[in-house]
Amino acid sequence: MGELALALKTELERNDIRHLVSVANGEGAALYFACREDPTFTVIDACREGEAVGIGAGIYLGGHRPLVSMENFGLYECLDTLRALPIDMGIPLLLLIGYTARPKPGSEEALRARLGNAATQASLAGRWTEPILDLAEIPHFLLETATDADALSRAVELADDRRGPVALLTEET
Amino acid sequence: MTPKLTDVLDALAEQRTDQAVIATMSAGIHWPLRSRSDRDLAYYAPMGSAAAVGVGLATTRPDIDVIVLDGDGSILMNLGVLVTIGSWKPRNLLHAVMVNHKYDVTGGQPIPGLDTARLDDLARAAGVPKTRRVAELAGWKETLSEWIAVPACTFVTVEVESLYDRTEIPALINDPAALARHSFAGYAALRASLER
Repeated sequence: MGELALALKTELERNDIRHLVSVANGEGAALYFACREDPTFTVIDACREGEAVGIGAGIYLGGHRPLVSMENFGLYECLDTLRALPIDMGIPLLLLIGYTARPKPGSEEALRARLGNAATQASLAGRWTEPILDLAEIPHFLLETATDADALSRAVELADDRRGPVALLTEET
Repeated sequence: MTPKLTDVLDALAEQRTDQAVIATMSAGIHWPLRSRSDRDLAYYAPMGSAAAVGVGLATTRPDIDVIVLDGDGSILMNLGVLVTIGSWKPRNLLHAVMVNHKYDVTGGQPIPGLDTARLDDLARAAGVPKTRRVAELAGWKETLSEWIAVPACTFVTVEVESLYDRTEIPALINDPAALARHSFAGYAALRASLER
């Protein structure tokens, strides 16, 4: 397991988060498999991101706090569900969003080396991520290394204070 | 004879005991005024999310029986959730889809697959263990009484007459019983009522 995944799992336990709702994504894979291997966690695989947000809203309705994990591509898919459920209904939903193609020095070249011509599409997804979260007024924290994992506790606190969703962005757990 | 949506909802109100009810679209507009309990959440579920909320609640709270009142156009926007329900098979979930073959809320456009797709077949193929298709009020009442007595993961389509009059909406939505059960207020109240 990666160091960040291990640290995030510890943070989940510290915040009594034992439900992970996940739409397959590479960035959160290490955390996903770590949670799957732990019988104290319930992992629900969803088919689509809007569905995952709905399941997360149902879990919170029942008195548990879930983490909903998806790609940034999936964030765009589920914006209307985010609007109508956690934002409109005041649900402090925690999102873990895979930050594909995060804009940073050298990222375009690295993407092109990895994805060839498909890098153009991925690059756009990366550029959209933070502006769209800002537009939706969803606060976000960037997780780069294991030392950033304590942002999860701060995100929980912020979500409770704001009564709305908060996102954790990561390129790899 | 195809029942009216309001008659279908009245039958549920009559038989319901302590189940949580999540209602959306046309059912979500009319249910709050017919319900006799406050264990309700009504909202305009975007992209068919009501069943997802229902399976999230049912899966993590097996002590609560959950009824989702969905629409046919609504569930078509979120068919993947049938696979999730079929995978988890929560014993305590009744997913009831009101079928009127139209998008009433947006003006009565026909739903895709009107003559070719059967939702109960899709649910069965997705792994939902009990599926049923009812076209009369008696069949709905029987389904309800069976499920309330012995809950089992069930998907049912209920044929209903189209019942949508846009001019009625403000009065329906602004009624105090509706306001208490809708969206933000409804979610908070239902969550509080489910606290252990």
